[in-house]
Amino acid sequence: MARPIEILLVEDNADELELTVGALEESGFDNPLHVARDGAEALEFLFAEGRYEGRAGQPNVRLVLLDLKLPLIDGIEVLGRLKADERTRAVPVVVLTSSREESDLVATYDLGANSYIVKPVDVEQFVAAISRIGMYWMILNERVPR
Amino acid sequence: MPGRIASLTDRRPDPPRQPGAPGQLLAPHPTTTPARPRPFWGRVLAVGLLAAAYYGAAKLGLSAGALKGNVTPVWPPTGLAIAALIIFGRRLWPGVALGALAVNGLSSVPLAAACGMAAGNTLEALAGAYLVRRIAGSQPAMSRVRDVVAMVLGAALLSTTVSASVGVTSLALGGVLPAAAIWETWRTWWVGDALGALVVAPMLLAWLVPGTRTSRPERIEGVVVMVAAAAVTTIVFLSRYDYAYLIFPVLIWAALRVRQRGATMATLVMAAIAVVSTAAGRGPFASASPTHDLWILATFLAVVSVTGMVLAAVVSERDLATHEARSLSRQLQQRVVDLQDANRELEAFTYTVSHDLRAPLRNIDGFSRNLMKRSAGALDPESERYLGVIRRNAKAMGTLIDELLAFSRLQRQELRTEPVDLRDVVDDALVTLSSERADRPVEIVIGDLPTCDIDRALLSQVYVNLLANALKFTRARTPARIEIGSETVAGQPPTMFVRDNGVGFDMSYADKLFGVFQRLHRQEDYEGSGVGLAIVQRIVSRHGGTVWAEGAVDAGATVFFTLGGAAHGPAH
Repeated sequence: MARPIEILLVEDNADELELTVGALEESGFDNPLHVARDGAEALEFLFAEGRYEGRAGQPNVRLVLLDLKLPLIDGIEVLGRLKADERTRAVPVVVLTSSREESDLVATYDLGANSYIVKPVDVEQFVAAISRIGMYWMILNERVPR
Repeated sequence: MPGRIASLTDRRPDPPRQPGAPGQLLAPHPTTTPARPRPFWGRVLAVGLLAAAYYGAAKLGLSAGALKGNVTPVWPPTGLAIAALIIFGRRLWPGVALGALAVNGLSSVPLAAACGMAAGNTLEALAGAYLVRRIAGSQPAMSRVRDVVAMVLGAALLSTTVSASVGVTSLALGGVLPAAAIWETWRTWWVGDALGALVVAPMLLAWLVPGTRTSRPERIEGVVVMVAAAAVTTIVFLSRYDYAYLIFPVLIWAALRVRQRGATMATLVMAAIAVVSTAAGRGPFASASPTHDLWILATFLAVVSVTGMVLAAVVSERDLATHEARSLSRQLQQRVVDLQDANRELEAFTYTVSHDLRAPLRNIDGFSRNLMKRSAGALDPESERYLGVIRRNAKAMGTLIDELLAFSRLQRQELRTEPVDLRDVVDDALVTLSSERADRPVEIVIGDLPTCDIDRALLSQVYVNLLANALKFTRARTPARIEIGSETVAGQPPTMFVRDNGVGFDMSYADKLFGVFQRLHRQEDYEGSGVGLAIVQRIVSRHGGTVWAEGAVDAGATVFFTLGGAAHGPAH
């Protein structure tokens, strides 16, 4: 495989971002991690448009960790666009949010989210959750062959 | 026929007039308002107009409506006087007195007797106006059955006895009336006045008492009904045969469609034609015997009048009730919309709370942890402890937010009820809590539990919370004992309970147990946020039940709850 397997982390809050990145590192994932700080950037990255137009071909994203409350384009719309496009439909999306809002749960699963994780306030539990997410989606889970 | 009626009808009747004429006689009156104190000359004018109207109505009654033997089955001035005093106030009584004096004084009775009769007429109108206002409770617009009852009882049946009695006595004392004719005269007098009150007064009240609105289409239909009433009544009374009942469909039409105004107008039209025809010796009620005619015609007109009025009043009351129900339902719909808005706002608020407050707490906890790791060994023990306190409080606040959210979600969550065996709910809750009792002996006794129509997920929260409390507060007991069951008093829905032999509580604080964030123990002794029992109470009350607790310090606690009518009865 020519391109390394990437993780796309969509998170606008710098502190949360640092904790999440730290948790991924702590869990031993050294895959290239790409960070998008808003919904528009996430879509441009996924579809190699706008800021990412120069990139050759599609990014080889194996997992999207998606926050819901995002600037410009919110997480639910990002999810919808991603699952509606056949190029990205098969990419697993794990919604990673602070909210247990029922309407968000319903909307995201309707749109085809693969998983919905409420980030625990307790950071130990948070690290454990990130570790398990990575373990499951990056290692255990078989992806669609390209 | 001797007496007042004979003496008053000596003059030849004028040519018949339009049946609706008495209504026009009152036309000048609406310019005077009863609410404002009238200036003296205004009152004089009103009195004069009333007197003139009274006189005109009497002339009309005498000229057009005298049967053979000169008896008048409908005496319009009585209805006019009662209606005028009800609408414009009893202060206008001199108008009645003057009008009556003119009517009686210009006849052939002696002046003293005429004065007595006028006094009787005036007293009748005063008594009628008073009784009707008293029984109806307000100005009767004839739009309620109560108004009709007031008119029939107060005006037609009671007040008219005054005029008949005073008038007949005056005639007898004046030497005009032989003693043998007294009873017959009284009856004749009374029935004429009573029908005057039944036929004329309600029509005036229906039109002149404010509060009734008649739309343009209703007015047009009203005219059509009146024409129909006149036509049908004319046909009936021109016919030789007894088709009198034919007028009822028209009367019912008038009452249903144009309500009290239609019914009373139709009654008046029908009465006018009936009286004029019978007086001319035509129609089903004309016979050789004037007394017989009088009573048959009077009874018929009374039935027509009361039927029409009652029907119209019932329809009006139904209309009013429908209108009120509609406006209530509109108000309720608005309230629902308002509440939905408020609920949406609340949801937006809780969303913000859940998302935006939890993230900073995780950061506080996370970066404190990073700091601890990075400075491992470099910080003095006290500083390390401070960091620990920061982290513990961040987590505690996270728990509080979560529980508060869970609590507020309970209120807007829809109940999804189904028949559930509470025993299953209890078993599930015990499995959920198995780690809490893994390291110590806990004796759990499960008694009879009913099957109930409940939201299973919510009820399982109830049992998880109650059992978690029971486990927590029996921590120091060996053996801890928890009893779960229900009690049923015959005819009552069952009462569920969870009883423990733990530390219990002071009953004087029992009312605080179910408040949000209310705790009866120190955090160091027994952990928890104080939301558990508040959640229990909310779930139980959403099922229509109540929850309460009994206990004593160091003697255990029992929490009881009911589930309203949801219980089906014992399952075990």
